[in-house]
Amino acid sequence: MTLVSSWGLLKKTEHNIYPVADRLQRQFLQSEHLGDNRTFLPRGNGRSYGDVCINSGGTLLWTGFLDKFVDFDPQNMTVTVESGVLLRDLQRFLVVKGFMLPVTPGTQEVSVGGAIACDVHCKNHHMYGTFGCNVKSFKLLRTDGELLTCSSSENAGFFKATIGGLGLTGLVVEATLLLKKVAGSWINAENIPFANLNEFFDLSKASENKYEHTVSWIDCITGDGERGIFMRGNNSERRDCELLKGSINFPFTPPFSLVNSLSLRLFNTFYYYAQSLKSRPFWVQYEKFFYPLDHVGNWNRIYGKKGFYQYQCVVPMSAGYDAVSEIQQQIAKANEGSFLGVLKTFGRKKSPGLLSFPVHGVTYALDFPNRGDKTEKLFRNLDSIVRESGGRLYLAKDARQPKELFELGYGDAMNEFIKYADPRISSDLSRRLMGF
Amino acid sequence: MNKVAKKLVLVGATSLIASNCARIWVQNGFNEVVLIGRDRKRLENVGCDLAVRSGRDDFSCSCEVVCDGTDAESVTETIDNICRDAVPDIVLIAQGSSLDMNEELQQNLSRLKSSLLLNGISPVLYAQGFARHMEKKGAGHVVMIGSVAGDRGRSSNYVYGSGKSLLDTYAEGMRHYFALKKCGVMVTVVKPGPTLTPMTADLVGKVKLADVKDVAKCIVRGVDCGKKTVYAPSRWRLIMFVIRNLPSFVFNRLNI
Repeated sequence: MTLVSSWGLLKKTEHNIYPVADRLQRQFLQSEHLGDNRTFLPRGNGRSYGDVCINSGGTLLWTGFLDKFVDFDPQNMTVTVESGVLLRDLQRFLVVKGFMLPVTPGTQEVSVGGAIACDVHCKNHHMYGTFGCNVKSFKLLRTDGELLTCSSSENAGFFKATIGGLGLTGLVVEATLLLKKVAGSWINAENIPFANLNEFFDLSKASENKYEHTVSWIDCITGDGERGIFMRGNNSERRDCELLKGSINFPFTPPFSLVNSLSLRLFNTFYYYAQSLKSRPFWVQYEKFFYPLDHVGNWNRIYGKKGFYQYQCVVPMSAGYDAVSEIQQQIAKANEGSFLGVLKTFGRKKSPGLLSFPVHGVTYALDFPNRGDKTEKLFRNLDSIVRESGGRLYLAKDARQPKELFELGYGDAMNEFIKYADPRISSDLSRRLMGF
Repeated sequence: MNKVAKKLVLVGATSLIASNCARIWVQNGFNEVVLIGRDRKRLENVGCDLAVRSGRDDFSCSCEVVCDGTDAESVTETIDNICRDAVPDIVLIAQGSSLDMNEELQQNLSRLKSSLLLNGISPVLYAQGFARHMEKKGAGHVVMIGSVAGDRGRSSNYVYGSGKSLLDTYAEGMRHYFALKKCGVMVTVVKPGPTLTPMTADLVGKVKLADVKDVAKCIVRGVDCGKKTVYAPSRWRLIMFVIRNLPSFVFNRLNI
């Protein structure tokens, strides 16, 4: 048994780890490999924050060795890879050939299987939808040994359940992904400071038709708690390619969180003014634009031994302004704050995934160091804002939401989803919220 | 892009270290790859991966199935077949690597024999087989994956280690032979430290395991520089220097 945690480092629990050596292997499905809790859980690079990628007392089917490319078809703009391939490696392979994945999350250190399981989204949701909207097909291995080819026309029920299905429907062994054409590795970006939420919503509305990528960083601690930087950009016509080399690594886990009101105040002020200086359009390499946190390896350690939570909710557009404003007030009242406050609007494009998180509206993501009851009390207040606004929380980041909030947000889809869940797969999250 | 044909042969091609090295070489211009192993389907998957990563129109990859790498006749036949058209520029031999527990092997002599055959004899058969052809051509590079376990016999894994240590002496002899013949064939022994592979996954959390991509980079860099021995990661050169030079009265008291 090995101690394993998720990216949030909130708890370390015992697991059997079974590495899936290649896509032909089936030995791991034998019941002797089941752990104490008699279930499996597929796991990629373990970058989800909460308890979706842990299966305490059970077996993790680790896909790190499923890292082979299967096919690249530039004519039809598709690539087929095994599910353990990291988006970083895939993007770097594609970009020099004039292609990119249309949708990647805020880190490229996730596996293709993980991106499907969490149905991740990007800064361009209003144009390309979620990761799952750009999956053509995949092969799903059920724990009874059956291998299903799934697409919107074949095994469509499994296709919809697996996209955003948190790994609970089986092990994705390989996937065929749709690509988009790009000229080079550059983004034409622009940073616009805004002073309050009204300006943010105006900027979002004005930018979504002209800009593929839009996202905002919000400074929820200094100023009046509403200022921020609106970042927008398009893939540049610049044709050359540059790939970044190396990154720095946060070398140890300090005994306490280095994120506190003093460090946040300093960081947020510095970041706000540094970004405000870049208000004229500029070229930025895609990895710096999309994945700024990847330049610091193991940045999660900065929150100390108790770990941290990421709280990400989505609320419908009509309730967006009030909800975000109220969340800001609650955070200020609790004297908490986050250096990563990300605000973004989701478009109308619907994902095929049954349990997919994004809906047309506003999403707000915040990191909080784990301060026990104090943090949980703040979350309960935020939960009630989300509940009243008709919103829901992102399961890939959740480690603590009450079952009743989950049922309000995902209850209807769960009735359908449960038909496709694999009976020998579970996670800490599924046992906490779904009852299996 | 380099248009000169460069041929790479991987023995034990489904080995994670071998296939990760091959990915780098393929990106550096090798356009002909021959994969040797026991399972055709798995070899084809490795070949497919290399073909996609290469992206070259003139890339070709073939698979040779050898069921028993300790059988001199089938090894000879396979090597002659591969060298008929062109002698490879690099042969990477990652054959073997059966990490059985020492205690089991001490009690079972037939398993002991197969471990020694697989980890010691088989790589040497391939190395010598290809070296014969390279000698005629006057160029080529034989790379054998040994192990840090081969540097000094230790209680926990000396069966595996002694198999691997055969490669060291054999490689030294080959280098001496080619130097006297003034022939340009190079021989390298690679000694990876504990690396995260499907075989060592149960050691996660107990031992610090190197990432196979870093190990592959280190190997390719060392081989391209023509080093005689490559430790991967390189810190193992220092660690093994200390372990090799520990006096017996100290070494025999340590459970390492």
